[in-house]
Amino acid sequence: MGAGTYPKEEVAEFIDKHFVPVQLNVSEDPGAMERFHATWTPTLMVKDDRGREYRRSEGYLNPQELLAELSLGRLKAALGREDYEEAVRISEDALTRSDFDPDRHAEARYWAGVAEYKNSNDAAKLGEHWKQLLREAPDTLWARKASFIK
Amino acid sequence: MISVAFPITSAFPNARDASSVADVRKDMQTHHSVKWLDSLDQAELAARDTQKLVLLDLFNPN
Repeated sequence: MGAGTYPKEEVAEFIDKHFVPVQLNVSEDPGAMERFHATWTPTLMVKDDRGREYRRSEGYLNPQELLAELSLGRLKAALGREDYEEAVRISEDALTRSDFDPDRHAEARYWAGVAEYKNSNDAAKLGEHWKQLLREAPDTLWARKASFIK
Repeated sequence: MISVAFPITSAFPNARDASSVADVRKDMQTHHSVKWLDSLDQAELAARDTQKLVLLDLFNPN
């Protein structure tokens, strides 16, 4: 990822805008794998300043995939700190950035519904997103998680 | 006219001489870099100050 993903301008700008990036070289710090309960590299984690982890990704990601992952990480972090207005805003970014990827887009749709519901306390908004998820991506894991609302 | 020596070939290895403007531009367009820290403690402090999240990358260069 150091050769093909991180050097992309859009990736570097997105990371700089939203994250403090830290890299640990596990060949120099082999204990890092155990400390973070990691089994493979690269392992990427989105965490807050107190160490709470909101998202984890294992394996190579191309620039588009990384941006979608990081946007989903921001969305989960906003939900985790109960900033639901911000979560709704970020969910729009996550939906846009994951548009090329059916699985991540379905996940973004799922959490967009949660964000809208938490922000408004209106279950109909959750239903709108999840029904759209069931229509657009019925074969995904995330549609199965939402399928009870049928 | 004042001329200023500028070590352009070391900064942009595609530029074999200063006249290779296109190569220099190509290098400038592709040399974007994430400014990684190497300490999680420092990253968490910086995240607190800036209200950003931490992106932690465990990597193996081998």
